[in-house]
Amino acid sequence: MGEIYDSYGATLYAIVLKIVRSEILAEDLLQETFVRVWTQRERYDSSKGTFFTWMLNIARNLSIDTIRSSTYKMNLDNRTVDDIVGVEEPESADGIIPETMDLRDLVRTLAPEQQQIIDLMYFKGYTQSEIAEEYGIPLGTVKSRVRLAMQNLRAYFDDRT
Amino acid sequence: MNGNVNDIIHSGILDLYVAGALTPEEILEVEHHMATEPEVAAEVMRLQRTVEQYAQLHSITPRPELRSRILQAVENARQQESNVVENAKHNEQPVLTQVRGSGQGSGATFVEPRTSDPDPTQRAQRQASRGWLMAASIAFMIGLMPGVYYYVQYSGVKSELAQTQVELADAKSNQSVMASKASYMESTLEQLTDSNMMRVPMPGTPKAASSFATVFWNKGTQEVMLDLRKMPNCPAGHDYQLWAIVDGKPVDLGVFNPERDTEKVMKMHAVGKPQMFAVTLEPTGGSPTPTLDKMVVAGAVTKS
Repeated sequence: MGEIYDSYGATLYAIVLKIVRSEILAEDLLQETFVRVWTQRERYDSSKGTFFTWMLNIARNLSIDTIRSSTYKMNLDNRTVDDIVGVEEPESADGIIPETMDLRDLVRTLAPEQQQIIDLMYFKGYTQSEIAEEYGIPLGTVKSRVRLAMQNLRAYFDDRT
Repeated sequence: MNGNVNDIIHSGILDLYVAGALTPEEILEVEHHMATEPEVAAEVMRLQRTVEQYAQLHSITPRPELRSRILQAVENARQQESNVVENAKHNEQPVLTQVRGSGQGSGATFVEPRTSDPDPTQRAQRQASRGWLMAASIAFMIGLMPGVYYYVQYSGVKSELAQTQVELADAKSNQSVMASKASYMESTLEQLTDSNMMRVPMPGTPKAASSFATVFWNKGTQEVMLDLRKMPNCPAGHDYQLWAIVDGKPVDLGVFNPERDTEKVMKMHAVGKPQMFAVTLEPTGGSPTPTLDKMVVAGAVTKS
């Protein structure tokens, strides 16, 4: 479990933090994610996806359930749910700042709207119709952006290995 | 690759699946294809690994304390689970022996109350029904414990399989850790064998006679490597700090801690023209100037 934490902890933490936007909450949720990975290990089916994808789904579902829960909403003080879910959040607030060479290269590879779509769907668990609705983008455009983003990512990482 | 598989792969539905954008019905459809067409499954895995790499670039390291807290929480869950399984085993065994024992009229674990009725058939029946009562109440208790039923039923192949999968994932990540360790050692070795590299042994001071460390200083690049394998652990709340003496003044080359640092040959800050190297014991995080009476090892740079 220590190795799993060392390999994936920081990646999962970033994703949980993106969704809940509170470090304290993100730490609790990361802990709960690892406990569930252990207690539900029998449910991991390697024919359905990579181990990381499975862990990511646990982390993301926990986080989304949390921000939709009533206790979380009650603790929002004067903020609205939309602030938290991040409809118009400033991108510089989290991991989008290109800190490393890799990330800077990648930012050049992915157009901003492609980054945004991957961010919303893969990291934050939005469905395509939610994105279409909230951003006023036609469903077909959402789909084509996802495809382009995935193809670019594929080309980017294939080049490097 | 048959046309159908090709269509699926090029339809873009797998991209959406991996990005997490499909409806539950569409997900089932993709998973059905994955189960029947290995090429579809392989494509999905490739896409997942791609986004995984993307996600890794966005990692944010949490506070270091979180690691032990989380591992402890997992350990607690693991212990809870094994207690439950153990209890289930313990409870199961006596039930079986008692029921069997009472059938033969020799249930040693039961002290049969004296009765006026010596009829052996009735006695056996009573004992048997007691056994059943016992079994029933234990079954009830087991029913109360969540998860036990599951583990008793499936504690065989299924859990071993899942265990193996977790271990496999563990081993895979281990492998990448080992690979990065190997490349670190390779670059360390390269630096240490550089002809510009000067070796400066630092024996222990009288206060810390068993301590020993070696500095490797590169005259060309001014890089400093420190071999800390023979340094004992620091007292709690303390770190070691490496200093170079340049023109009679101490220069901070960084802190280290044998308990915390996994690399036993560490790269420290670079320094030009050192006359001497020394290590002092300082409060965690180091100090701006060395606490000289806490010097544990030191060695002079010999001109060559």
